[in-house]
Amino acid sequence: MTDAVSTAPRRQRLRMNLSLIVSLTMLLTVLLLIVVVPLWPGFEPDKQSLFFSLEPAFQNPQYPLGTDALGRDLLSRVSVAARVSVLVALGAVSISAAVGILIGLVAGWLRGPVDSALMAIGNIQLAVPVVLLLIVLVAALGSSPLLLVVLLGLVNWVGYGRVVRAQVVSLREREFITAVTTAGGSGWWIMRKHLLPNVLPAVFVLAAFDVGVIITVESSLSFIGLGIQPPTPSLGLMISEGQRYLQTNIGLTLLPALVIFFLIGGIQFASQTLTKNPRRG
Amino acid sequence: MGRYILTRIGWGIVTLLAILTLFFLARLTGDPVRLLLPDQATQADVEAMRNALGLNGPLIEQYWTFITGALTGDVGDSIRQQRPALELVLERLPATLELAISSFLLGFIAALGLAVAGEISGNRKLRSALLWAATFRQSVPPYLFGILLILILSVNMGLLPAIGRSSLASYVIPVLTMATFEVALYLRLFNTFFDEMRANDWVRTAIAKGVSRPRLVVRHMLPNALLPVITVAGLNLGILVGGTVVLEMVFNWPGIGRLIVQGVTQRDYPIVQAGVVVTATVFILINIVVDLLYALLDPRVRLA
Amino acid sequence: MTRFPLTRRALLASTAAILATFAVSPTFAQPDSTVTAALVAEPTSLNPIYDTGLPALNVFYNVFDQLTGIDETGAVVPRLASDWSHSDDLKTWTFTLRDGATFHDGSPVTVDDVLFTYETAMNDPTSRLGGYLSTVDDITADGSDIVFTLNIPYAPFDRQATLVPIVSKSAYEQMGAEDYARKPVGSGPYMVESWVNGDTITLKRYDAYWGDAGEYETVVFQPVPDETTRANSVQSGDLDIALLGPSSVPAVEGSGSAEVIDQQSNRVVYLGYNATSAWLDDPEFRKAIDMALDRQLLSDRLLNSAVEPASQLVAKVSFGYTPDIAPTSYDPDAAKSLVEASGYDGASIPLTYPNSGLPQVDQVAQAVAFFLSEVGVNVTLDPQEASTFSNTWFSGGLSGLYIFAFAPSVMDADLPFNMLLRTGGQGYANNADIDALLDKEIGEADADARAATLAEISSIVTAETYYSPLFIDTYSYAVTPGLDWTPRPDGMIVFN
Repeated sequence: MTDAVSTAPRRQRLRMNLSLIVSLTMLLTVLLLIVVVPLWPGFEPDKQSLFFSLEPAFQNPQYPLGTDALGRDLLSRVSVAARVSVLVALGAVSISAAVGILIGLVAGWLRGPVDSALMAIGNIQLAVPVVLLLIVLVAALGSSPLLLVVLLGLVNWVGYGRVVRAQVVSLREREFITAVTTAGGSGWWIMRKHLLPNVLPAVFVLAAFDVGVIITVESSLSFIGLGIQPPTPSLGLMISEGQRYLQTNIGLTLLPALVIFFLIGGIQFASQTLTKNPRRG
Repeated sequence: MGRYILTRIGWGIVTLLAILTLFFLARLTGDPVRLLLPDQATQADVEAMRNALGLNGPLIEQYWTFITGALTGDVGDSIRQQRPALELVLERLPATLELAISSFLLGFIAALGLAVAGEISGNRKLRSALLWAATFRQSVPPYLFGILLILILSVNMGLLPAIGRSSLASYVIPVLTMATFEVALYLRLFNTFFDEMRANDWVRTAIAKGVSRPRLVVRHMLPNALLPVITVAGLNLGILVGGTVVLEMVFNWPGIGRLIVQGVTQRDYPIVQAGVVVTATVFILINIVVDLLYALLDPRVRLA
Repeated sequence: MTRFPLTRRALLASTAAILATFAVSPTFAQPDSTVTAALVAEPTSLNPIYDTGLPALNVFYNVFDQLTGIDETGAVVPRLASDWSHSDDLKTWTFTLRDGATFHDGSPVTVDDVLFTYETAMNDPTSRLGGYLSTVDDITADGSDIVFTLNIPYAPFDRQATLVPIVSKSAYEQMGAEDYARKPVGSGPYMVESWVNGDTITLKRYDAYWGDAGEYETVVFQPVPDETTRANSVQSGDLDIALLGPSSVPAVEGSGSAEVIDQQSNRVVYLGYNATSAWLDDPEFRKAIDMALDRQLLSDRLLNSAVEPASQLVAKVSFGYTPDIAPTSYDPDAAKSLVEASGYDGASIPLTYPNSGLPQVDQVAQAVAFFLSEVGVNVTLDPQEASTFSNTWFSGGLSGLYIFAFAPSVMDADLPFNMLLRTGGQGYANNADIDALLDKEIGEADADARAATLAEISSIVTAETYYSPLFIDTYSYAVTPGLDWTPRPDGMIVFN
């Protein structure tokens, strides 16, 4: 029994490498799908040809992965859908991170009532489930892809705010910051020059995991018809359309499902290599 | 301890008030009456509605009416169903709570059991296999997992109901969908903390002193891991409840999530408002419970 | 890629023993059994004065009686009225109430109840049912006769009477409108036992029903808005009857765990034009759009040949259909030159449609948009939630193109024509000739003459392209094997 404990470090490294390989394979596959498919001469995500409706995969070289009910090329569509999902997630996470960093820096640096107020706002926002909040906002404001990015970004800043604030609070007690302050450095200058670089690594780790979360949330919203709207392809929308043909043409559902699996899995397996899970707060 | 509970409850009320205020402000943007009335309403209907809602009075007065109304449970009638919105929401609440709580308990207990069993066995391969399975499950969004379960278990095999909540059997697929997701989440968390602890001196010392492995894991490692896992569980609740909203659509589950989505798409504003307030209340209560659990497990918190 | 690896056979082989116990369970039509049927949406109320939507009407057909009914062939038949007649000018209609009909509380159905129902609907401006009764000037009782005095001659008034479920006056007044909406007291073959919000409406057989007895002890209506979920739920055994989307038909047919029953429907799905909006006010431009639509390809490929191309606003099963008009032929070249001739500047035209309730409507909308883009017309898709759309449609607020359908439960062209074509109705034709013809047909007692007038209206609609009828729907139901149940062309699911 003790043997298992003593050999842990070596075996653990081995496992980490395997999951890293899996992770990279998954993410690279999606990256290829997004980048390379549009270069292919047959790339036509919007062209319908009802005559070739529901073509099965690997039958017609014009449609290597088959077509959907409207006779649109599935490979092209899933490539665009993956691009849309990834861009929405990256955009949203950038906004969350930017807002969170700003609020966290201000709260952590100023402390006192400003800090309490900002963190209270964060707590209040956390009391409404994110998906519910998004459903209400999307219904009130609409769901153009750009708006969706902004909304997804704005409802998700709290985690970043908390992490940054915690770091700033501990950093500002450190000697080098105290030294700069006594030397007469202004608050903004210290934040930009000294605090920001120190909080960024933690923010990046959090952001990486959040991309997976946002992809899930966006695809769920699109799946129930409150996210990306047709004719723009998105992974959730493709699954919702493909569901009708689940028993006869499972590829219509499986293809976007695999892309989602690769995207989220790529990030999850990467997290398996890090010993720590993201902990907010 | 009593004071601690009171503080938490006080914060809960402040949070609710804040959410209500945000709703009030949202109502001020654009014409709320137009949202409340069907599209073919005439200008006369609009005026009548304005008066009925007290929207022609001063802002402070409106705010007071709104907040007191909401706090006494009167958020108005559903526009489509002409019944008190809160009543409709509360009718649907049990279905959602059953789904959320049973899958949480099942998921959490299974994760705890698997993590402890894996740790006690000391079998690296077993632990690793569990971890891989968990990560795979986490990579499939719940709605997708649900669709596939329905296809295999209900449609192809005819073993289990695909929709509704008429019999015990109809709980199986929805709960399985949610619970497996939560098993994966908590299993990975427990595992992370066990990994951290295993490298600690006190664990090594205990092993050297001949403490049996089951005793070490159950009596010493588990209580230490429980604390942070519960914290993360509380924080993840929002995502899980959000997942339930979408799952209710997949399983035609008569819960609060489907009602809110329906309210949103039909612009039945009182339903949405009642739904969000009720969800937030439940959510705040759960968070208070999590905090109390935390305080019970970690005496230091009481001093804070 | 085309087949899921877990084939039915492989699974069956491994779990044959377990499945054997489940295989004996299909519900056959037994007098004491339960039948579960899907509704495509949940009624908002079970008070017939306020909810006239098709899901509610479906429940009402089982729970209430109307003066007259529509049978499985679409003909008008006696219900609470044993007999009826009209004056020569079609303005006075007399219905004789049958003896022996009772409400679910045991009290007899009297002329007072009939008067109360009609008057409540007519006097309440918020009653949707009242909207159907604008032709009624006066209603009086004369012994067991009910006499309607109309403000215009109205030939299909006996059909119109099928829309009005008769409520129990004493129960309605005692319970109040709100409670009545939860658990109404009617006189139909089934009574409402419970309504679990969002989940099920459970009906019990009313044993003292005067007419054909209910075939089942218990009827459960379950609202299931999603097409795929409905298809799945019949195969899994949760539902006995569910309306299918065209794309689900092959899967259900191939599954072996459910049967598919087809019924030609009374529903026509059409592309509508706001003929007062930019570009669409030009009849030639509308004609171009009409010719750009490949209805045959749409029917055969996208909708699995489960529908047929439509030529007019009424379906073959409805009164007023004329075989003389054929569906517009697909002619993209002619369409393109008409678009060019119109001077169209490429401005994007909104295409509004309800996001549920019609077969594969999101895909149909995308296909229409693509057909139009092929002849140079740009379209922006504008999906709306079904009830929001229906309100916009009702108030005449659609701004360009739209997709919608009309399924007149009265099975007569008069209702759709009046709503879709009459000036001041829900359409945008504003054509004086059509208005005059509508005034004429409604007063024609001779069925052949009336049919000819209705056909004349259809030919004006075609000539001016006020609408582009797309296809006549087929109602395909997934049904538990062996279930004894006959579908109806009006799409109502009825169990007696």
